[in-house]
Amino acid sequence: MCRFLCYFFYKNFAFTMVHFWFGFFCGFSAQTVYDQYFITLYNIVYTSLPVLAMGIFDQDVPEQRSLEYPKLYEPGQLNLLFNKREFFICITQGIYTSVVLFFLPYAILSHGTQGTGEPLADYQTFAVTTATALVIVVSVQIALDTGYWTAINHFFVWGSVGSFFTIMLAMHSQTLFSIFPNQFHFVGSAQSTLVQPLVWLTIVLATVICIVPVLAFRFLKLDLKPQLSDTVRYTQLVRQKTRKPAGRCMGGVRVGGVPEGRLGARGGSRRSGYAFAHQEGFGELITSGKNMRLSSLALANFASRHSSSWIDTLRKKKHSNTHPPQSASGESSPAPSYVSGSAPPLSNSSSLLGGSQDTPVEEGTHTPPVILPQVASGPPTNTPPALASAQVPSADALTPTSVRSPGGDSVGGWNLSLGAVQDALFGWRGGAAHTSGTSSPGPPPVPKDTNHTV
Amino acid sequence: MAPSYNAKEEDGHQPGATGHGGAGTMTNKKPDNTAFKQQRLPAWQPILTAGTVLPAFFVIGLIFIPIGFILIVYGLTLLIDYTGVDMSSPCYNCSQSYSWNNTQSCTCSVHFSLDQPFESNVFMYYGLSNFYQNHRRYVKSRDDSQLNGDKTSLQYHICTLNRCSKECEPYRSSDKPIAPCGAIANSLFNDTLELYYIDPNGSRTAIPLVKKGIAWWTDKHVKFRNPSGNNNLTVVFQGTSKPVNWRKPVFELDPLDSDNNGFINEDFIVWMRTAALPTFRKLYCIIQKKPNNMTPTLPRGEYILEVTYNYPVRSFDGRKRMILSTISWMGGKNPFLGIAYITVGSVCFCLGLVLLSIHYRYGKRNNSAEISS
Repeated sequence: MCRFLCYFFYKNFAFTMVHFWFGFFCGFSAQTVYDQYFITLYNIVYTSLPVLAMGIFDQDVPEQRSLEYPKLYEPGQLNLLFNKREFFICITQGIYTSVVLFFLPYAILSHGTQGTGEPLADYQTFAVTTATALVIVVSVQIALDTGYWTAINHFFVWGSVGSFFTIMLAMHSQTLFSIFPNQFHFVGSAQSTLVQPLVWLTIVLATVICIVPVLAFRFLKLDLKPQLSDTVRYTQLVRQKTRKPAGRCMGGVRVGGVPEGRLGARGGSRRSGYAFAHQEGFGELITSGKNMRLSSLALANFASRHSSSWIDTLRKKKHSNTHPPQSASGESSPAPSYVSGSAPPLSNSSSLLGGSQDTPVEEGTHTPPVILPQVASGPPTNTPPALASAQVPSADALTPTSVRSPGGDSVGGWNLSLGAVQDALFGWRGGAAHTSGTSSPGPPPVPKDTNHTV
Repeated sequence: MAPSYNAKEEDGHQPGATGHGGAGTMTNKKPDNTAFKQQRLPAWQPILTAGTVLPAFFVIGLIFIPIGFILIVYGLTLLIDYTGVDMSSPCYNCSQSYSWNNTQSCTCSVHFSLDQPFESNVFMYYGLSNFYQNHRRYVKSRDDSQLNGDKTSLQYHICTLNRCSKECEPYRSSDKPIAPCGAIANSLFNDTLELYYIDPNGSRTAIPLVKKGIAWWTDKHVKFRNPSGNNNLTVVFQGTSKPVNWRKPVFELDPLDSDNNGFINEDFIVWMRTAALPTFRKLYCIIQKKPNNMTPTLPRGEYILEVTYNYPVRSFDGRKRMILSTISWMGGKNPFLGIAYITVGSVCFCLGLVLLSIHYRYGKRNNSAEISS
């Protein structure tokens, strides 16, 4: 959004300040440099759509990465991206561009002639040259600003430039002049001007003079003081490049699915990759449902419908491994004290993934204690270990997890924090559901299980 | 094994009074799960790396410098100011004694010499300075439909009914409608220039000047048309008057050549194409190259420029000039462009070198896929 704003000011200053400089040479009579129709269409047709597309579709980092690095939100909070200084820089760039766009054609065309001898210093040639240079320079600038080129961006940018040439050639055509001679004064100008090599040399020179400083500044900034978003984007690019060969191998192995090579070859930040997980942990994550925020109702339904048989199955499995049930009863005594709060316990992935083989077995028989009081009492940093130590049974009871500790270790660290967040959130929400007194069967599973256990 | 999980279900969604599973009865404001609305469109993400930026700078530098050298070595130009500002100037008397009502024209002769012969077609321009043809009121002051041959603006009763162009005021009509109307037409440049070559033995040879082919093709054949109806332009323009500052009416601009008379007179067309800047030049005539390519068009030596001094510029401190120039396909001598290209090319190249050195010494290069901090 900040780039969108900056570009808007830039393009309008570049467009309007040319008239300011021209004022010194036209007796301050407010004669416009450009054709009247160009002035009307500039902001509507020639330059509005590319910047709109940039504002809508721009993504500097992919979504997962922005979740991984919360520090990326810091520039927004500190108002670093659009403040008075940035605004001033945008304006200065616009004024510099307008100086180049006026004085370069002024200097070149004042002594320039066509190949047939007619001088190029007439008003209409000057207008066409300056207008063409302006549209090309601001289009190159928006192309530099757009960091995320979807198909729509391409269409808008190239389409705007193309529409400029089309409309200009149409308005300078003989057909329109023959219908409205007093409205279309510029008959023959574009056709005559745009075939002159001198005019194109002027336009290319103007573009280079306007864009090279911008390019140099941005490159230096990126090289010497990259911001976190730049680093994230760069590492994402490197990661995709290294992933591409692996993707192609997988595509060869897989039968009948979407070929991985095609997906990897795009190189963009396409994120529909769950079916073709590159890391081991994602498959587990999906089937566990941990990344999906189940509503309390859904959880309750599931728990009520499946929990008894499922928990039985699980407990049987765990009992068959090691522990006697006495420990279960002993440790279940604290449970009733927690029941009063009776929020439906959350899935806590950390408990499953971080823990050893023994902990699920040990605590499989416990009644699920309530998370909420713990969250409210202790400091937040303590809750994850507290939760991890005490409450695996809750997790087992209500989430459709199966025994999967061997698989999930690779993403254990990541899921720890996410699980804690979900605990806090879900515990609060479950508590709210309970206190609001709806007919949700949220609370019931807890006493039900307790009853069942005991 | 996932229960009633629905991708569109709201978080923490409260069921209806019936308490059945799912969110079907509540209105769902979540956007659709399409690639467009969830911002998952495939995209290309370019990044400014040293590998792309630095070669671009070097390439630009290497392309621009030769172009600049090509542009800078072209063309010959000679410029003669004949305003007559100084007392020693040959046209001083003419410049002082000007009056609009003066029917007798003043002539003056300017001597000059060419050090280098001018080859191929030579173009003669007249130049004016401090003349603001780009003033807004001046630029508006014309009637393009009249110049295109529309007869309604030539008729008196239509003009009095305010049907002909108001932009031409105050040069729209005197007692009769003015053809051509407007300030641009009124200020037509009417000096006459002639060139004579002085042989080494002292005799003068007139150099043939071609006054056709000096206007834009679209101007001559599309934009400007004589009113139709009669081949005799005197009849066609009956009922109109000449512009205030002209000495002869529009149908006498070139009575010998009907293709160059009336509105389609090329000098007139060239003048009506307003200039963009206060110092400008306009094409006056072409000196054709000799049929045999052996002799130069304008050999080295002495020349005389004979001026019929009709156009007053002293009142607004303007200057008049005659310019002789040779043209290539690139169009005339343009030292500024050549110098600009060389400068920009070398600046780009140096900038590339500077950035390269900065990048190697101070740049943070991170080639791994992980972020260290």
